[in-house]
Amino acid sequence: MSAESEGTLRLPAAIRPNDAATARVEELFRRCERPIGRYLAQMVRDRALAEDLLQDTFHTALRSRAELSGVRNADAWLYGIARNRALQALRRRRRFDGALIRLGLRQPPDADGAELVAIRDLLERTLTPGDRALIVLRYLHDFDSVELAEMTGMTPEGVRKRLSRARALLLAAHPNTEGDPI
Amino acid sequence: MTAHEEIRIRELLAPLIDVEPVRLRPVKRKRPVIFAVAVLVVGLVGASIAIADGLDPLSGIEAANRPRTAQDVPSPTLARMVRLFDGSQAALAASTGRLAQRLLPATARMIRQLPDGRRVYVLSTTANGLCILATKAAFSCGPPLTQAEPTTVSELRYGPDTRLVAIGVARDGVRSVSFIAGGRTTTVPVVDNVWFYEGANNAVESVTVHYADGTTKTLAH
Repeated sequence: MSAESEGTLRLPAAIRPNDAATARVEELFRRCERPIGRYLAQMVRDRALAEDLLQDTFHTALRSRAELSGVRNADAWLYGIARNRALQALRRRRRFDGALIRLGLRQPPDADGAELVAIRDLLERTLTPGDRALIVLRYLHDFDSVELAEMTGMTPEGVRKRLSRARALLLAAHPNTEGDPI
Repeated sequence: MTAHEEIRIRELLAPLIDVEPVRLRPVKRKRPVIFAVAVLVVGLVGASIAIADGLDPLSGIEAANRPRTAQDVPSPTLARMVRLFDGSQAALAASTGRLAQRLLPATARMIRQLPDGRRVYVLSTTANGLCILATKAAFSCGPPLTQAEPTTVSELRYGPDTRLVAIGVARDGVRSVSFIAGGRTTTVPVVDNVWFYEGANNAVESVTVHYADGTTKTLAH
């Protein structure tokens, strides 16, 4: 995975029972804030929403810090929280967008570059939010199927199948990378 | 999946690689609260000065009890720690209803440079917490050192395949610290209020401090 690797520092729970888990979450967030901030910005177009999701991820991690001692891959645990927050937000946003369409209102224009807009459109048009999250985590954040299984509660084989289907959908929707517009 | 398909998927997603990450927002304080706190501070300043020595979390750490010098000026690493700590405390305060505490960078004192080059700083918080930072690693905070807990114990691992490093900051008068690591009792000296251990094992247990007067104190577990 792509997060920077730096030292960890923790206090034994017996000596600092109330601070050890918090310190570990802080250390984890210090290391992962940037890549998770990028992941959330990749998953949702609205940067203000992505910032809210990053805050929510941190809040949730702090509230759930007792779980961390039993977690094998802390990075995957934190990414899993971020993924869940993003998927919840995307589901809410989809309902909201549906309401806007029904009311005949337009969404604000996308300020990103044309290439970025095109790939986001392709991902949203082709994949469910859950599959989109898997593709982004696999190919942009280098998590393998075992780590993705830990994040999602699926089996590694289930992850591989969903990734395979998502890849096929993407490539079918964009059959030629040379010259064809997305 | 073929390597060609793998390349195509990665090419397809390439525009997303450089998306600028979002960051945690800095904490915004409401002006009325600042004003109220300012009034309170002005009102209590006399009393605070009178009891400051008793509250200073760096008291009892002689290596930190000196005027600030250039080596104590927060490095970029320390500045990042300060920002993260303040953000995390604000988040914690929001979720628990507790008052947020902030680090006080001006109190930072570099008290020892470890054999591997890392510097150990101590600094205090607005809630009189004691924080310890080893550069290029995360930091930890807790209550000030006391008779009952005369040393901190922090364990660092720089990578999955590296040996464990344990670091502690001890009160004045503590000459050495012993502990069980990997089934063996080890004793390390305290230099400038800091002790340091690097070993192949991943647990430091049964920590006992040894005072200069010959007495000992085993930390409660």
